[in-house]
Amino acid sequence: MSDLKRIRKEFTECKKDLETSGLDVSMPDESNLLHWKATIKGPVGTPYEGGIFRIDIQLPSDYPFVPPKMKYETRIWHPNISSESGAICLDILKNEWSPALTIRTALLSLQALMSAPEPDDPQDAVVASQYKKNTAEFSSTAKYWTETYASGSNEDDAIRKLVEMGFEVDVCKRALKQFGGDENKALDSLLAGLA
Amino acid sequence: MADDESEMLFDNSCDDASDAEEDDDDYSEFEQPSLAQAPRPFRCLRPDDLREMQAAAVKRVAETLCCEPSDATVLLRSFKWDAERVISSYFENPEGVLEKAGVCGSSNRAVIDAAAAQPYQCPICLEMVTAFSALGCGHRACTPCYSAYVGHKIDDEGTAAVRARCPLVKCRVQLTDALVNALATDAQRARYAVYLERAFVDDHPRLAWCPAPSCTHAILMVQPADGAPLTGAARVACACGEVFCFACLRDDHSPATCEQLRLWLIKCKDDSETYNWLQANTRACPACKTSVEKSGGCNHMTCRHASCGHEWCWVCAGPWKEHSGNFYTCNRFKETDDEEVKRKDLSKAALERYLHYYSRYINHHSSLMLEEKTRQAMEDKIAEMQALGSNWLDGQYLKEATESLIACRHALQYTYVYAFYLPADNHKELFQMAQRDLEMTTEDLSAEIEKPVEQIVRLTVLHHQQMSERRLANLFNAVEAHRVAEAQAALEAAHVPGALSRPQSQA
Ligand SMILES: [Zn+2]
Ligand SMILES: [Zn+2]
Ligand SMILES: [Zn+2]
Ligand SMILES: [Zn+2]
Repeated sequence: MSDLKRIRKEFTECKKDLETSGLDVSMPDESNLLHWKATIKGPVGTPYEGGIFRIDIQLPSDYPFVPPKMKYETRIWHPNISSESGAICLDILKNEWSPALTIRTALLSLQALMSAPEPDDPQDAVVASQYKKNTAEFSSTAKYWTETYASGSNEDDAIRKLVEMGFEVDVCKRALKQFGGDENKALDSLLAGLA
Repeated sequence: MADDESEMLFDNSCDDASDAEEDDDDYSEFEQPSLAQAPRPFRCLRPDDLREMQAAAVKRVAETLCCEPSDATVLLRSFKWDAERVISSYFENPEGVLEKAGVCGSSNRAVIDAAAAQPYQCPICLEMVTAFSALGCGHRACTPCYSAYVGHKIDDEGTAAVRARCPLVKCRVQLTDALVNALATDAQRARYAVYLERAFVDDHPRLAWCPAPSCTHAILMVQPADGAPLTGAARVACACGEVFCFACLRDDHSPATCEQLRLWLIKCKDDSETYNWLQANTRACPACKTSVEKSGGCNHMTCRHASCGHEWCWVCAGPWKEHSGNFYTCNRFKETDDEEVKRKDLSKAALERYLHYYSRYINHHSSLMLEEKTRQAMEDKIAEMQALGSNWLDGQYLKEATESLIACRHALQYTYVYAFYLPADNHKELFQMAQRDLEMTTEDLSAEIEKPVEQIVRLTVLHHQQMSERRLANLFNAVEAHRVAEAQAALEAAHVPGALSRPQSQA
């Protein structure tokens, strides 16, 4: 049985220093304390600067004795994060998890990982080899992905983009809502609807 | 290492094809007393013996290092239960050993459910509390949280609970059995004890659980006097009757090595669909095409069809007449130099080669299955003999002969795995000769004891049995001699640079 009291406490703690941490959290369904959404600001001085990255967080029923399940919903070009699925390779989210860690500390670790990738323990082999062999190429790809996928988290912006592609405003709004604001998934579903 | 003597030996026995029975001394070259044919000594331990053995090691370390028994247990676990190595390493580098194992210095004791002077925030429930438990590292958590943590490890992580650490971030101190037992529930404590025992056997390099499904025994290999490490396959027998290889826990597979067997089993699994038919226990008589069922382990088939009576070999379907004396060549796959074959599709050749070895392997394997029936049939025969007036003791030689037969078939099965991975050289020729000889006497023995009671001749059975046992020993000696020679050659090759440098330094 998960410790709901602790989870509520963690949520409040996370909300305290939004300005300084560059993190934000929310619960899409207030009645389900085990499902969180978070955003991380891309660290300054990295190819992710200026981007807002959405993370999906599922808390297992025996949290905090087992790690939270986290994955990137925003596509990102990073050696330790799958460019396909958003799966994260980070020791504290696996065998190095400790019940004394919190969601906040885990998110801060992700932010640190974005600043300092660990290409020797890769999740995405293609990205990792590019990172090691051609840093300049890596940086420009990561930057391009940030601009393409992580800069339009503003919903109005997303709706405008989709409308520009020729879809109805109402349809765009519904699709965005269905995919929690993920414009890429919304676009995929809109395109699938055409096919 | 194409030495002339082995060449000569091979030529010799090929030439005198007539007296297969008299050539027992052909392998005398291999019967050197230095060869390690004696099985490595081992003991079968019951759960109580295991607990005793574990307790003795803990006591030895705790008393020598003046530490808590639970810390001694953690130390031993990180040194694979080698108490002497724990002690010598500790005296060399105490801090290093403690840190590597995850033990705190003896000045800091674990604390169970004490009260803190000042309230603090429990790192797990995040509440302000005073009660706490902690390991020697001093990392506190409130007792309910610590208990829940320990309970989670036992309930959800299985044997890994044995290596659980302090709940604090990146602290490498190991939970001690003393702390676990103080905080866990009764049911959890019981399960934890099972995990500790399992881990003890799993971690100890000279212990292995008996693989028999309901057996609780473990096998302990006795430490060799020279302290040499255990390597390679070793046949062991549990008190429950299970015979297995200590190194890989599979069926005893000598003369094949563990690695050969592993590769072989993968290969068989991959190819099993293609060769399923080989396991069928009926085949058409080559002469009259009547379906003949294999009734015993013997490969000497006799067609039961009224007018036929054709005698043939189950393995190659050739006439049995050609299978006596040195013409018995069923065991050998000819690695031919024929240009015709060389031009053939290589994969087809590889498949044929595999099929040759596999069909012989699986044949002995299925004969072994039937041999279980033979065991029962032998009991019946002994009873029958008693009824005919001989006393019970007189019949016992048949039982011994059956056991010899089973042992020979068992080894023969794996000789095909061994031979499959041998390069075509002198040793392979010699090995296949020994294999062929063993196969012949094994079939003779099998045929003799399968006869009706009144036709069995005791002296003949004993003769075939002795021959089989001797040839089995010859075969293992040949394998061992080759292994020793190869190891020596490797050793000498490794020493060549040293040998060259000596004259240089003198100059
Ligand atoms: Zn607590
Ligand atoms: Zn600690
Ligand atoms: Zn057993
Ligand atoms: Zn083995």
